[in-house]
Amino acid sequence: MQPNQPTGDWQRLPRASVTAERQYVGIKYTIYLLLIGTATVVQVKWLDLSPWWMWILAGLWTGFFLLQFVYIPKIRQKYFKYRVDDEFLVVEFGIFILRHVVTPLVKVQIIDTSSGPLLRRLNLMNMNVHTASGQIELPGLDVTQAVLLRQRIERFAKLEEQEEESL
Amino acid sequence: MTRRVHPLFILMTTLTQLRSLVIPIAVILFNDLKNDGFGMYTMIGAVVISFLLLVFGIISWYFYTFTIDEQSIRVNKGIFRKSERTTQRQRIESIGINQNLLERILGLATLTVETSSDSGKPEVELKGVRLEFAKQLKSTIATRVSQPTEHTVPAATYTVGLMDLIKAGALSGRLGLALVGFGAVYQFANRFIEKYISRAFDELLHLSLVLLLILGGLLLLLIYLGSILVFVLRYGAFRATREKERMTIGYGLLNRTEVVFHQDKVQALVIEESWIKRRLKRAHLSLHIISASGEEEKLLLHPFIRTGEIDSFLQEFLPRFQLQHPHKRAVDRGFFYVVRWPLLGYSLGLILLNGVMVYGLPEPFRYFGLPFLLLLPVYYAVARSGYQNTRYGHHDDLFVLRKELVNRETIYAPRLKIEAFSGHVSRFLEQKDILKFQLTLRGSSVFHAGYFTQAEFEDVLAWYQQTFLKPPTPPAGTPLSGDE
Repeated sequence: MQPNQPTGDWQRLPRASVTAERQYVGIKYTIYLLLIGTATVVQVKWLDLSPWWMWILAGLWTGFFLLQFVYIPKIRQKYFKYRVDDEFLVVEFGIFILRHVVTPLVKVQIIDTSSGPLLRRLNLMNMNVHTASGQIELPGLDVTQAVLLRQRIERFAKLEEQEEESL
Repeated sequence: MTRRVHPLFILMTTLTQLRSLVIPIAVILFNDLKNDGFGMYTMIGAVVISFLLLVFGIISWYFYTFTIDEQSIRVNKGIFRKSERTTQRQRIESIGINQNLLERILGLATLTVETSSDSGKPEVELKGVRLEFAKQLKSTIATRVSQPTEHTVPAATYTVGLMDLIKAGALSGRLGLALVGFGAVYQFANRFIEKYISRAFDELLHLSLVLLLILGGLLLLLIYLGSILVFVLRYGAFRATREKERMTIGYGLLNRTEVVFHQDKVQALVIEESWIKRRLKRAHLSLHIISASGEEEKLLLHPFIRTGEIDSFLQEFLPRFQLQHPHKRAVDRGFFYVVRWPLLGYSLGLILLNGVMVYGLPEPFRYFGLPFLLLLPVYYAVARSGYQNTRYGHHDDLFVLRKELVNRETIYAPRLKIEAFSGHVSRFLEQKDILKFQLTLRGSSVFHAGYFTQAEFEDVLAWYQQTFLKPPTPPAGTPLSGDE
């Protein structure tokens, strides 16, 4: 058995994936803000309270918003990369913990792709690669990139593993 | 053959359902007794409900059929919502026979067939088949149609003796739990005393405190002995048989479980040696397998084997796995990062405990907890020397990963069974050129150990990234080599 040589270059997430994630986070936090605002108004107007605790909520909101809107999408895009080594999928990712995962393509069982309206507008796609032991998420791939990757993986789905004995 | 399960299935389902109704029935009965005797309506209600349950049992028995042919196993069931489930025989990972107490009394068994599907539940579950029939069925499912049967290797069997089981149960980590419980009981008892007995009985209080301590100790001893008993009941009459490539493992005194699987379906072998077992030169062997015994993926292979005998034992029962000494050691600079969180946790726990004791206890008992703080440096020292043994190695097609601080856990996994190999490290430690190795096996179980260096990771990847594919079959007409 000859060891594989790395055959592919590192593929990265497109810049648009940052935009997509920001749009998503933006919408989510707008809804949260509206909820917080409504709660505050209700408490002040109808319940005659001076809700200092809403400041805490507002602070938390700001903190998480900054983190999730400004930093995390950029970090994710910066560190996420994948490549296909002959018959292995190699993915590196992680926000706080850096992970480097290698999984053989023959072990892949299901590939599912999904894209919501936000992703579709930017021509992006989420991809989940399932094996019998779990899944690898590839968020916000370019559609052409995703289709190419899927084709490469699909080729291996038909092949036979060295080890497949029944009882 | 399309068949039905044994008619006793009806009785079993009825009884099981009655059992789930125990609490409402008890409430009604109690209510009736509080008034005057059993009311007419209660009687009628009980009869009607039992009758309905029985009818339900009969109908569901009637519609519960299964078919086994050469390719697949099919189970049909359901009265209103029909379900049919077909499982390809090729995908079977293991087959098990489980018997709970009720089933044992009735002489029935539940046959489960496990595949590597996502859900945690077994793919096929045949309830209420006669034990004899289940065994027969198991062997028909378990024999491959194309298996050559010319040379019959005699089956090898081993059992685990009662004394070994008791010892294994006694050392299976429950001692620590008992100690923690001891502390908790002590705290509780102490609060109780302070609240209800006045200071005038100070002398007596000390006496009763000692008494309570003894009582608490006895209680904990009982719990501990109970846990050993549970262990023995659970794994008693342990028996494993190897017949060619097929392995059967059965255990349990009350609920009997028997699992059968092909040797090639073993994902990994795990050898656990806790610090106390290492002193006794014993080890705990378990297999990682998609097992039909249900709740756990680790199947017990031997609870208390002599470490010197593991080698010959494996040769006889699991020839694919050979003991080996992993050579690559974890890097020293990683030790601090491995030990910091447990050490911090233990320190905080001990300090908290001591704080509570110093504030809450009467004079002579107040400082009893302080000596325990000495355990921290001892833990550090033990972990320091244990960490030296955190190692990895690969030999031919077998990967060995050993994790050790106080207890030692070694996993042997064949390369072709590793579903994903990964390294992970926090961003902060990335610059220090260290990372943890992680093996992911089928059925979402994960083993990791660290820290190793990036270069070592690359080295393992080079070994791991060899082909997983079957060598291409030669085109038709090519003469087979070695054939005459």
